[in-house]
Amino acid sequence: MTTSTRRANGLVRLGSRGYSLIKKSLGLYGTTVALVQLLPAVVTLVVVAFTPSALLSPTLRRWMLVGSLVGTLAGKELFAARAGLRSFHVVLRGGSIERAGGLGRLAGSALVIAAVAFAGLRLHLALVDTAFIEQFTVLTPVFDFYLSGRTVAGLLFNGVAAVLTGVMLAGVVAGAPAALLNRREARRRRAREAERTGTLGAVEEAIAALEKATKALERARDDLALAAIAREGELAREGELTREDGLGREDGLARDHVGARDVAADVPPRGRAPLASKAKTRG
Amino acid sequence: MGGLCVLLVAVLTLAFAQPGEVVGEAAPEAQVLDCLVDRALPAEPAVTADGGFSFQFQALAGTAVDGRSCTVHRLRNSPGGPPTPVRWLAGAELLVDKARLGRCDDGSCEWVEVARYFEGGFELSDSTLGYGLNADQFTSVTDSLVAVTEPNLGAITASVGTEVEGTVQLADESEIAIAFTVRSRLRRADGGSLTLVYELETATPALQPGGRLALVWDAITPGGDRVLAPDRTADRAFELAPTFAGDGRVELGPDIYALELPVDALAYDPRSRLSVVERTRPDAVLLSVPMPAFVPDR
Repeated sequence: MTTSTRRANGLVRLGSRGYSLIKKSLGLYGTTVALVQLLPAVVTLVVVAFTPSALLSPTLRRWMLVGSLVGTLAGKELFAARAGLRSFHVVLRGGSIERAGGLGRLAGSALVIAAVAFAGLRLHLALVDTAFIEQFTVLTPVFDFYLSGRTVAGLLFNGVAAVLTGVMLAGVVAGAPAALLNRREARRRRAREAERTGTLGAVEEAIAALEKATKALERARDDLALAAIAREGELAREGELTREDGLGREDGLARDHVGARDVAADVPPRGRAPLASKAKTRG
Repeated sequence: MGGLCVLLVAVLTLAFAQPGEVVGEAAPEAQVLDCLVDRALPAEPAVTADGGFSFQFQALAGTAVDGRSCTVHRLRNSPGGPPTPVRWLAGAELLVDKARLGRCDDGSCEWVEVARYFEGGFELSDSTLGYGLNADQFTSVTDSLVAVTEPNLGAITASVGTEVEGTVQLADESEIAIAFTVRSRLRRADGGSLTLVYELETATPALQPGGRLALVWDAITPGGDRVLAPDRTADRAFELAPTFAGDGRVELGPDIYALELPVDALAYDPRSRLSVVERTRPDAVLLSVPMPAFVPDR
């Protein structure tokens, strides 16, 4: 590999790194700008999602409170059953409870159900919102039914809202701790696995670390070699220039008559500029 | 300077007056139901609007055509407004409940009117209009005229009554216009014997024998689980609670269905309510209004 080729590779590598950095910074910038632009919409959606006008009704709030209490209890019960909280005596005796699979399934399904119930609840509450119904006139009969003032309509609306609230809270109360517990169990499982592999695992880790270190040293050696070559080149050029300068002094004034242009034509391109500069200074 | 102050006070009074609030005495209005109105609050029907709902309301008071006192509370949807369940309360006292103001076009919006006829007077009171979902999604606080009933229980005769005119919506979403008057009366004979009379007067076919509607009057049906209405099979005006069963005598007249009940002593229940229901669904109230009653003192 010649010096110029190595230099070119270095430039390409530098350019590639620079481009990556620019791309990364632009990506971050673009994402930030998009998020800032979306922020008002997100805030509006959150406000609309969490403060529907139906919640102004104290009767509905009471129903939803009952639903949330029942849902919370149901969620706790579900989580306790799946997490084996009733089997503490097994743990206390030094045993273990197989619950990883159950917890994973519970976390996934409960959180999905909670999300679906939230969406359903929000839509349900929107059904008695005049602004929403004006946009979706096809739902007007539903609106008219719920606002008919009839006992059955009120019971149905409040009951559905309470059930959806209960399901949502049951999902969250059961799913969120199940997900956390499942994560902790998985971490422990990995730790146990590493412990089981024992000394062999440690040696493999050491070999991998050694390989990394070897590669790093090789890169450092290459860089040092490149730097040494570059330094030799610079020294050679400096020696050449010094020699040329000495010859010029021996020629004396006669060289001035030959003309700076002819002298410049004889020297390599790299030395042309400084020599010309010197000739000008002297003239 | 003094004139300027008076002007300033007048401007401030008008500026801070609530929409629909009465400023001064209202001009006497024409008769509403059997009530000759001499006071209205607000002077003109006021509009309350929130959350896309919009309807008119007004409280009236005056003298009934038979010389007793009367109040009228009335509600009407605004043209194009959505169906609006309304509950109108004055503190703990019910004025109108379960009123359902249906959709209507300009010119077709009818009042739901509840008139009360009684001995006594009326007073100014804060009232709350709840409307929208469960009739409590939005509220509007306003002044209103509230009946203060003071029947003379020692008199030879006394009477208290409620008249309703409006529209109710049934479970099958059909709408029925209703108009009826319910009275509770006491009659004292020469010998001092007392008779209580419970009376329904209506020309509405749905409330007559064989009709789809019935009335529940919780004063004479404790618990409100019994239907009170002209019965198609039995020859009596009301089906009464077990405490009354077998005691009453029925008098039927044109569009009048009444029950006479001899009692030894009586009491006055000013808080009882009258509800319109479907005969097949007596628990589903379509409209509820105040209807005080004379009841046996047991």
